[in-house]
Amino acid sequence: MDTSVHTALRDRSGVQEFTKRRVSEVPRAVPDVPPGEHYRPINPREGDKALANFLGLFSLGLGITQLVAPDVVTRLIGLHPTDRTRSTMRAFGVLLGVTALDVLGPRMIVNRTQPRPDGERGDNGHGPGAGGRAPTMYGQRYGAGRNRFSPERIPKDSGGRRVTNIITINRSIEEVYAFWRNFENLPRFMRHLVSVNETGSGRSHWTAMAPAGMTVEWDAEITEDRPNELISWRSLPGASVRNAGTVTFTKAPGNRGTEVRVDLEYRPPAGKLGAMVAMLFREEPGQQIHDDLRNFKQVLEIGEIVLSDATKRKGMHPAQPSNEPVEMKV
Amino acid sequence: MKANCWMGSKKVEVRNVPDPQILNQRDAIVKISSTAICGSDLHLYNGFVPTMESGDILGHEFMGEVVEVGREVKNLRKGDRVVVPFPIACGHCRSCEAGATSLCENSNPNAYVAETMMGGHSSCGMFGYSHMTGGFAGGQAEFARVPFADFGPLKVPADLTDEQVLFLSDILPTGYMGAEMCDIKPGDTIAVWGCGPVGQFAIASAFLLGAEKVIAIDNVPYRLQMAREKNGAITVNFDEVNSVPDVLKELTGGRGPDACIDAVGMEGNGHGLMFAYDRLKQMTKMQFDRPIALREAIMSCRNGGTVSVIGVYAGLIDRFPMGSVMNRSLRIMTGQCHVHRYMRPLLDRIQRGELDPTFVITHRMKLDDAPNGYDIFNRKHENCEKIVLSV
Repeated sequence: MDTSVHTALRDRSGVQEFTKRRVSEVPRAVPDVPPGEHYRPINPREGDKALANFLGLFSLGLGITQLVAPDVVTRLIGLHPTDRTRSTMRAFGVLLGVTALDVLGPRMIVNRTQPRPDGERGDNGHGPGAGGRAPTMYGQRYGAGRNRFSPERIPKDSGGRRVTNIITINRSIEEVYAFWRNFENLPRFMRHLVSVNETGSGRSHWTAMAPAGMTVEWDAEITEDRPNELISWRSLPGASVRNAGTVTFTKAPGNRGTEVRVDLEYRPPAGKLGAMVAMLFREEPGQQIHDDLRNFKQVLEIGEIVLSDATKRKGMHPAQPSNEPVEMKV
Repeated sequence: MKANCWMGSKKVEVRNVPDPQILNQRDAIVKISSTAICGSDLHLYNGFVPTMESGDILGHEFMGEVVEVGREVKNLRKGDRVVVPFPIACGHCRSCEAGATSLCENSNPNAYVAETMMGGHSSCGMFGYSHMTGGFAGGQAEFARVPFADFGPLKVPADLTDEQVLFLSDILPTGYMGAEMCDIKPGDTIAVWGCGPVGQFAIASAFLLGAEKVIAIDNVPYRLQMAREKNGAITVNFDEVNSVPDVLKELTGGRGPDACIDAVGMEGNGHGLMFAYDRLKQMTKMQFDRPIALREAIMSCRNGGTVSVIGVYAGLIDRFPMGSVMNRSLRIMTGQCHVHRYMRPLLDRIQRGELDPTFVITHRMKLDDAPNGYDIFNRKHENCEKIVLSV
């Protein structure tokens, strides 16, 4: 039972009541982000920004065009230029331009500080003891400098993607860990997997379904295995889709089951666009992991994955019994 | 088998479809003897619920005889007569263990669809209620596949008729839960919006739970009449008065009702500017639901009272009087009914004669007449209150 986090908390004035309640010999929930820590996102927020900038610039461009070359735009929309259309077009150009500047302005003027995803422990320095902190359980779990936010095994600029997903399962942590650790169980809830065979010394051979009825295979190895805590793996060189991940198991607070978290890093074969297309078919690994964790929960809590009339086969079909074979496995 | 299928907005047809099969080992197949059309089915009928597909079998209030069970079902046998609750619940997740079966975490195979619409969380799977709730075939049919048959269906005694117990599947527990959520104290006055079957059962349950006065609000005369004659409610026709909240204050010594039950939901009707606004926004798809009754319930409720919402809503609403809620310490209680936990206690009450649910039935038809049934129920013709379909 690690006590360093307790020491750190006890040293801060004003939190003694808190520690008196929390310190105990009974195994307790170990949160991913312990009390007193700040949440840092794995994927910093930037999606909106690019789109908003694009829309702002597009609007600005269109507005300026309407202002300086109204007849061009008038003809473009199929009207015949007259004096009236010219003045109307210019007025709209001004309106559009002003609105665009309103959208773009704050983004150009204010330099937003992005959270650094590279695991630097120094935050903005707020709060006492931020400088000389004792190593917390948080840092300890992942090792110095090698936490969730450390430089990825697949560097981001090389087209890699990170996804994370978490679910709570109403079973003990031992049961949940043991089920996952036996990799042969994985195809039971990861529906895109055909089989996983452990080949010894932490290595395994994976077979998964690929589009058009084909299969794809690769080898992987376990890089870290801490029973009832976490399992880390990565694909070996030569894998068709490089991937690496960590699954962590923590007791849910209040003895409410087990929290299972999967952090997955992978490089989508067709890049970002490919990932977006895959999302349409719910084949993108971020979505798949979401579905897989739900299936995992079902397999552990009720022993089967529940099917409905509308989901027993792939593709769109009505909620009606049918004589066609059931495609999805339970 | 024959089944009533949704074919589009305001269009249902009884078609011949294959019989259901066992898909999971806790399934049972039930040969349906009686089923009904629910007010919430009308939301599907009128095209207000997204993720419907042509051919979906409707119906979530049904009962019948078990004809086949999966390997893992140990408590039911062929021949057992059961009523099936409309939420599909596994019994082993935390929600089910806590009794909140309409929040079952494992019963919706299309959870990701529901999550998209409800901010990352899904509720349970349901029979015959769009693909968002799993795409399970419904019970307006000759047979139904019932998942988790060892946890849901309730065996009913032979000396009670179908009509006496059919409503344990949905509307009776729903009305009861609406009244229970009000936390009724002796002497309380409860106001109920909506005199459809669920509203009628909410009124009856409010009295059972100790209310002294129940005020029922609607604009359909025959429904108000039923609330008066069968349940002893004081009735208010909102088309006759200028302001329902004012009338309720008048009827409660200026305080307002102690609790207000919204048994209307997303297709609320009203009059005046607010109603026109809601209809316009709904037509232009800028708002899914018309929360007229909900707003009135909030505005009418006494300070510190409870607003109990059992009317069904699907999406987002506009102009919600949050200021009134916050500043007056109102408590909002809501949810799809957790039918499982009410079935047995309500069956006991029926057996003891404390409650006779058959009073809401106005029409008895055959499954083949379902399309006609939907039409008259929707338009409130022929004094239609509740239609029971025998199969």
